[in-house]
Amino acid sequence: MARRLDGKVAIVTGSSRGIGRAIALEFAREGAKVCVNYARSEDKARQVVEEIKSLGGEALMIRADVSKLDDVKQLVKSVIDRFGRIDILVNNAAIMLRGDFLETEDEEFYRILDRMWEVNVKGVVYCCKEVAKYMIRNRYGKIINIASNAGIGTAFPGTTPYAMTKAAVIILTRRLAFELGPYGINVNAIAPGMVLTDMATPEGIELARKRSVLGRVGKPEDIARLAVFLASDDSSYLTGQVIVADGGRIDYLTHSL
Amino acid sequence: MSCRLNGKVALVTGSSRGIGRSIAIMFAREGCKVCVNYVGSEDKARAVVEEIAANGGEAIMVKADVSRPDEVRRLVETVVNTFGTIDILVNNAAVMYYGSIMDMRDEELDRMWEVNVKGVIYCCREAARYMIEKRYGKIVNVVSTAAIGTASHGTTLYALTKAAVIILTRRLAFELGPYGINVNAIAPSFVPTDMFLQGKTKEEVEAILEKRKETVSLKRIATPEDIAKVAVFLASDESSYITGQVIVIDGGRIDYLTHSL
Repeated sequence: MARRLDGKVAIVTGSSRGIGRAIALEFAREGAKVCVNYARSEDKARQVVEEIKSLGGEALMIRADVSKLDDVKQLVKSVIDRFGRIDILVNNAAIMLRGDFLETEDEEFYRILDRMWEVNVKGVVYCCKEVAKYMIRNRYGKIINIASNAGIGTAFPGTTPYAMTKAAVIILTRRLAFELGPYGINVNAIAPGMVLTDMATPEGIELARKRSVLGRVGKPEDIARLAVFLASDDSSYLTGQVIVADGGRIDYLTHSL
Repeated sequence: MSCRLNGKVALVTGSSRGIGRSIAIMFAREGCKVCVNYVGSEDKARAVVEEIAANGGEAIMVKADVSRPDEVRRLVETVVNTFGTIDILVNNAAVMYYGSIMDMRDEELDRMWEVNVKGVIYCCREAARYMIEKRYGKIVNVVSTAAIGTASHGTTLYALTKAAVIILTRRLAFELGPYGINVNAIAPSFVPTDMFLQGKTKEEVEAILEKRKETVSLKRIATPEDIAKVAVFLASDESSYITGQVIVIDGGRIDYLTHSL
């Protein structure tokens, strides 16, 4: 059977659970060797690796906090040492700290903003920079950034600081596509809407369901299948794009075209 | 072999050549029954049907001008009568007249409006009747990066018709979403198809392609297959949570016109 990622090597950051976990599993099912990265949930990461192995796949788990450059360097080095190269990088690791522009105490608001900046933005920059060195050498690579439809502008409460970090990832995607394109590297982003993970609250899920034209919220697999498409050569002429997967939300904020 | 469109039925308008042809052939390879629609190129449509049959697929060819509502109705009815249903509609048929806004003739503008915009509306309406009934459907509109605003001369009015299809895509996703129908668009950039190659020498073609490559981040020119592969994704259930989106397939063009976010 021709699998769509046969023989490829992928790093999926933050893949011990949620969307990252689904991506790691789907990639392995499509024949990729996967590095399951985690920061804290060691047991969950191990379960993902075991599940991949039980499918007959190959996986490696590595602990690294993407907001620490040294950790990222070590992560990338471990993958190279083990698999010899990196074809696919999925920047999925992120944190979502709720913060309301008016309600949240100033000190707390700035603390969460800074923390999300470290993980959601600089973490992505670190991973891209370290991995791109190897991809450039191979004249091949697929970088997939997990952004969010919040970064495009949904009328969703309590997520403005988070949305800011995801908007930064969106422009990073577009600019890196330009910088890395000549080396045969595709850089795209996925902007999921509400997805059923342990990050989601029951109220958030219900709100998002009501505001989607398909009348449902996403499953991690919905996003994983899109990630497979972007990691595969089915999308080889796509770069610099942000693909929204949100079931057709009807609550976007006003914007010029 | 796992076929990503197994047992599905698709109508691909304008599929006797170019991007449409490539979509029809790739859909068939993924296990889909395909209606190859054409308006002028009967021989080429037949060649597509034969190629699909040779690969072990199933296809029919139906002549219909998408700008005529009665022909579209008959087209869709033929698909449903032959294959029992319609799951996927790819609105690919379009015409392009090249020229500045100052010297384009009214007939050319009207023809683009009739085919590129009203043709898509007619096809969506006729196909959606069946899709609504079965609470399932995938509509993929083929638009163009021109409509998003590339700095290319001679295609302003063509771009206008494609921009209309972009907003149609988004609004139809809203109208048809509750019935389980996904509506998305793909926006290819420059793809050298027969139409482009016609009447040019090999050297002329090479020179144009070289120049084009400079405006593309990936430094290469698209093939019809690059576009068809994305159409497969949008026609499959892999994209079931995606609706109302326009996916640009342009290798990362660097020559878009200024725009607000």
